[in-house]
Amino acid sequence: MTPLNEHDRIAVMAYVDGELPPEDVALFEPRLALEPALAGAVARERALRARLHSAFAPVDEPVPAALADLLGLPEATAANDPLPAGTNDTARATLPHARRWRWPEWATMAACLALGVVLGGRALAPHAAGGGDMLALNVAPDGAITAQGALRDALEQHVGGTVLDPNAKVGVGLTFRNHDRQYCRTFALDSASSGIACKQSEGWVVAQLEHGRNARAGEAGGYRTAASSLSPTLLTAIDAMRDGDTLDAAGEEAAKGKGWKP
Amino acid sequence: MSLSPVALRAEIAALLPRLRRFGRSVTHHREDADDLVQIAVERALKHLDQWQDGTRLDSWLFRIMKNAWIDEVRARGRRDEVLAPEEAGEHVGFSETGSRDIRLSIDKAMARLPEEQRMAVSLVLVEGLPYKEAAEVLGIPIGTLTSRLARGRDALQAMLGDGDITP
Repeated sequence: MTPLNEHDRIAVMAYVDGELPPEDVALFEPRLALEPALAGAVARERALRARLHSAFAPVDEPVPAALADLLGLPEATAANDPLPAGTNDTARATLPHARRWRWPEWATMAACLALGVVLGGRALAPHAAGGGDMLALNVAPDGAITAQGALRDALEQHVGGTVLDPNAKVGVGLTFRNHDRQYCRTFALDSASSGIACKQSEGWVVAQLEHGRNARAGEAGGYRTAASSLSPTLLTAIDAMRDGDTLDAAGEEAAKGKGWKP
Repeated sequence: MSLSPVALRAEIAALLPRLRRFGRSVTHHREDADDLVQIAVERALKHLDQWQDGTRLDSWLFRIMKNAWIDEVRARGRRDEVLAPEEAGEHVGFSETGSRDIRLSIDKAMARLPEEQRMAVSLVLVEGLPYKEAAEVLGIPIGTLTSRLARGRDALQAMLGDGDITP
């Protein structure tokens, strides 16, 4: 097989890594059908990526005591039970920002959620029960938060700013696609939390969560049009996450029809 | 708006499995890897104010680890040679899941890469960082990163054998 020139070599790599600018992708992709050497190189790179991914799992072994002390992890737990965070590595690695939620108002939710993150479900049953947000959010052992109950239903069902239930405690606002082409939606809970959740295979995974002064739910239907009611933090997050414009009602309907699958 | 130290600590704790993985990739030694993570976390906690909200916490910690490792390698100097890669590969076992055969051969191939290529491959292909982030972690221009990545991948392909790529 003819070796690729340096330019193509780098292009193949960048293409496979998702780092090729869109205008270059448009030039690159048609060539794949015509140039077997190029297509072969892409296939090899993809295989190598996949192989590296599956070969190196995050280290979920017991955390050494000194390190556990440093981070204030309970030592008994750390010694007996490896931190389960990161067990779903493929999702984590391909979605580097999906789980980087922020808690400006940490303390309020700490009782419910912090233990879930730190202890990975050891101190907190995976299906947390309690009041308020606890009913809408589930903390998995790996720290991922997924939407439950009314929030999950709203994320699945609401389109075009319609409100299925006038007494809904949940509002769904903007819809957009992230860089992994997943559908993401902003939401607000009556308990004054708001955030962004993206549809992944395991459900609506919360990518961003905010609690307190900036977040507001109010009437769910008004949330969509009042983009200005989104906090600056969420707006910034949306800008960083989105790939393309936010969807209009027809776009949301179409995405819903596909089950919000990428 | 910035995260409270408590929140940051929790986020760092959640990153531990990845930090430890990167540590093993860099040091090729379990204990060295955990020592490296320990040092990096200590430094991070001491300088929490230097982390800028809105930037990636994982990148920041990887960078601290990389710098700490360079310091460590310098300090060891020749008195305590870093383990030969071929030998070191045997010390590192990853999780019990997955096919061991495939993993070991990749382990060894990775261990034989020059450190600068290994770090680039590790950050981009294992940790999934964008080029820009990986270049910042390593403190190099993007062009240098892509060239290290290309050379690292070519070397891996060559070691693993083209026909052997499909898992």
